[in-house]
Amino acid sequence: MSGFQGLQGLQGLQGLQGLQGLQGLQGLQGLQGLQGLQGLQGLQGLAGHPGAANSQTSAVSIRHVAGQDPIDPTKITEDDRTNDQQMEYWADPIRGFIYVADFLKNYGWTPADDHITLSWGGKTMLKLGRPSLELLVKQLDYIDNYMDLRADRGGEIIGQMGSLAGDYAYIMGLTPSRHGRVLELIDLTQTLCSFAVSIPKHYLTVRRPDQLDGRLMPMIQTPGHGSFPSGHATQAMAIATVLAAVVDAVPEHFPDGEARKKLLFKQAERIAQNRTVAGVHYPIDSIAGAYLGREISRIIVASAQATPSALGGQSYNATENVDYFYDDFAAMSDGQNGTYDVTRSGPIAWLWGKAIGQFI
Amino acid sequence: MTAMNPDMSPPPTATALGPYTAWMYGPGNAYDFFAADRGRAPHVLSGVVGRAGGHVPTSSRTPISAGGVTASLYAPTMWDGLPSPCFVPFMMSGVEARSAEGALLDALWRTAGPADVALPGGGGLGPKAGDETFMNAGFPLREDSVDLAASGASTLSADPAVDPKKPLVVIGIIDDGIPFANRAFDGLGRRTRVDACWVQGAAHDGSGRVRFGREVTGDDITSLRQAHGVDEDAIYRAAGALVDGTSLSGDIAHGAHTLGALAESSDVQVRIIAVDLPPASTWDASGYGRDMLMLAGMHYIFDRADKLAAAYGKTTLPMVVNISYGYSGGAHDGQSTLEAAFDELIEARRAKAPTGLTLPSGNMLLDAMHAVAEVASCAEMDPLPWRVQPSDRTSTFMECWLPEGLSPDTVSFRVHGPGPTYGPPGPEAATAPVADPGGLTTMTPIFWQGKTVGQLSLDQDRSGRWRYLVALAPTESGIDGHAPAGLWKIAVTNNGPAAQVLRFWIQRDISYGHGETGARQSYFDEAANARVTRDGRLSEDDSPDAMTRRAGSLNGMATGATPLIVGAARDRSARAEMYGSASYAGDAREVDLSAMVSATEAEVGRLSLTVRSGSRVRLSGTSVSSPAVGATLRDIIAAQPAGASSDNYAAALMATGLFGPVEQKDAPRLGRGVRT
Repeated sequence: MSGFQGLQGLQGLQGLQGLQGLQGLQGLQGLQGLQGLQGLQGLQGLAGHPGAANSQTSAVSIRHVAGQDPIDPTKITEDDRTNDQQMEYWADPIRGFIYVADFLKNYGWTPADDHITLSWGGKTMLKLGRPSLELLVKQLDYIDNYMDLRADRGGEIIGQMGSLAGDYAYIMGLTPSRHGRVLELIDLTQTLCSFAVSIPKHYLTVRRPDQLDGRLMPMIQTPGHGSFPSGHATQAMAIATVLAAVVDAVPEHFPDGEARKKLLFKQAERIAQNRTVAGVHYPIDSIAGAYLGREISRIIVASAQATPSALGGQSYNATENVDYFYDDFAAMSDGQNGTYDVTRSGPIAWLWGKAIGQFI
Repeated sequence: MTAMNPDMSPPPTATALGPYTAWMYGPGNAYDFFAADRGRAPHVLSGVVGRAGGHVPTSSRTPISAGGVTASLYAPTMWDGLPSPCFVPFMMSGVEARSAEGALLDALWRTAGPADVALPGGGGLGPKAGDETFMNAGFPLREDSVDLAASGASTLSADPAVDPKKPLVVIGIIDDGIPFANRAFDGLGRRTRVDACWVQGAAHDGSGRVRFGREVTGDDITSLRQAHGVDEDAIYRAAGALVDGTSLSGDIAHGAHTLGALAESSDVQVRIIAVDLPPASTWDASGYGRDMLMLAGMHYIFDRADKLAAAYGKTTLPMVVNISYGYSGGAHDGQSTLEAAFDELIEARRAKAPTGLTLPSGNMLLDAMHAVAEVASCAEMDPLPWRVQPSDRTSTFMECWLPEGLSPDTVSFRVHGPGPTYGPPGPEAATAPVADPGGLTTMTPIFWQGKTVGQLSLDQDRSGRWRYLVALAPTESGIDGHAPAGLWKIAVTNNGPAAQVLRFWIQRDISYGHGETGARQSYFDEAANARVTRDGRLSEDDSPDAMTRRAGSLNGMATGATPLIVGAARDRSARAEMYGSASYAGDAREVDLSAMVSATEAEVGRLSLTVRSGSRVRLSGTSVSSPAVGATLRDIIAAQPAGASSDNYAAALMATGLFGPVEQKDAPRLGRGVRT
């Protein structure tokens, strides 16, 4: 039920003006979720270079001055391919395809009637239990109660419908001219989460809140995918966890590293909570998303290391009717599921090294 | 209904402190800004109340001690026209640890007689036999703002442009953000008519004129203008008035607007005495902690008005005071500490000169913060649904008042934690403690999943009426012991032989002004309360079957005997402003008069001053209608006789012909006339 805030309700709309400024900070243009799959845009790059369009005419007219000699192979120097150096040369979207293909090589899943097991390299990474309808109905009360925050959070909710990089950039002090690879790391994290979360969303097929209760009337369009887990919660937690690892990796850069990490996770909580305020997610969706996002970020960070890691497999059975708070999530341990191994990924290691190098 | 786990609930406790004070010093101490940043505030402003006959001036002074800690008590400037006041605002000094404060104050009120309170300039106020004490304690005063050695005395100069043969009237104001340098307050000869302004939150200047904060006189303003010319920012900075969080550093201030309306030019010669509340005192919208600052402010205004009279060769001057503040809670019977304290002061002053006080009726009509439950004998009321918001970063308070003469022994009062919107109440979280035969406040924690998330208390007001107070911790995560948000419910059983009427008020819980406290307003969320009419407008009428009420949403601070209660009207047909609070018909006090605020649908709010000279702004609320009526009273007050005024000059105001008629149905919100 919404409270009555009279004229104060208009203040939520003012949030729009301040929040979208940071979306220009995206280091990777075009690397947003599924947009990276929109075909071979590389060829369109030619359109910006008038010289190339003229090449047909020039070739006929001027090439005679270049002589008739064959090319000598011994004089050719190849591009440096050590440690995935060549990532430097590729167009932004191409690097995006490489990260995604590299990730999907190891990401697997085994669906079942009441759960799905997500795996990495053939071993269990996260098992998610499917929530019952009774639990979903109880969860509706949380969404009902959060409706009163819609006026306050409206600006953020709309601003958080695309890239989340802006919401973390101001916590980490990032600026595009200096931190291009860090922003790429954030966009990459968000993109991989989109791919990863679409699988449990598909197989578990949990109905959205507004499909159960017409009184909720979400303030944004209900997205066209299953409710559980929450994609925003997955992405937000993954980005926060990756950036927290960045903070730990450059201890001299931040005088207040511990405070920054707290802000990162509080922001992750808020981004996820905003989806409940908007009326499109149950709080348990955010818990499940937090589990998945945390594993993906652990994989990303472990993939960047030279030596392999064994990470703990996780599981979450959504049975308790609780709200989503970061502190509670961090204290949860539904149960470990053995371990899974993460080995070095060249492209990820390259990016991580470059990103860390953009801090002092 | 799930019973509380007895292993988890310690026995209720009892204290001589009031319930809000007990919360602030007890489980709630981490949640209130009073608790924050206390390292540099070894002084607090508190208040003592005597139910019977006042305090006797003495020449001795005794510090108080408890648990090995000793503190001294000091009064700020007090009006000497009330030599034996019942209500004394005082500062407690010398206590470093906050926890020791609570224990000291508790001990203070349990012992046979409280120690003397040192008056500025010497002497003290001691107790009188038979005193019983209630108090609101604990507003921290910054170390650099307190000057205990101050004499509290000040000399005010006469303005040579004033014609002593014509009527001279004082207007007093207590508000937040008083722009004393604003040129709108200039009189003839471009000398300011602000003769004294007490900036309570400022660092003291060693002049000894006030015991905390800083006084800026008309002469000071003249000097500041000579030094800084037209740069009003520099003037406020040099005067020490740019206290942390003050509205004076922004463009719009509540005090600028209300003083502008109160001081609007007229044929009457007007002098201005102002009190600028510390910005931090306005952040807790429940009003807690602000009472004693206002009472000290009132004493200051009365004292300086006499000094001003002396400067003009008179014994006293007619005066109108406006205070555009209020709170939602209180018994609404005129008996609360501050109401009775104002009555005491004003009735004493009226004996010598006509004295008016205008207060706003409140803006809470539509906020669903008030409910009334009529409970038959040996029956249980329908649970009252109380929606507590998520992401609330301040404490939440709700009061339930029993009718006069009813003992809580016949009442069972229970608080249920959040439950489903469409379903039975959630698990029980607390049952009210029994009353203490000695009159102490009794309290029990409110539990949720093994943690204390609030306090449920029972106390007896100075009027004899009993009150339950439900105090909840903030609901924002990341705060230790945060309370669960959601639909709480209150269940009450009447075990007595007669039907009873219980009144509930939720305290104001909003972010006000420049202090972003993260407050979120809880409200009663009853399906039976139709908040919207059939044609889509917000409903200004009560639903017949609902407990939630619009009638009775009156300002809990405005029901004393001496103020004029002022409502707000809109559009030329003089309807009530949508938010304008309403009294109950037949209650001791009802809205007296009102003033136009929003002239048309397009002109929302009434024009008055901004902080800097040369601009105006529209603001809404009964805060802005109150000084408008105050200004009208100002123009006729000099012609009123000294002595008691049974209707607080309301008839005299109606006789001016400046008030338009009010339809009977609008009277609970507009009173008997609307000042256009």
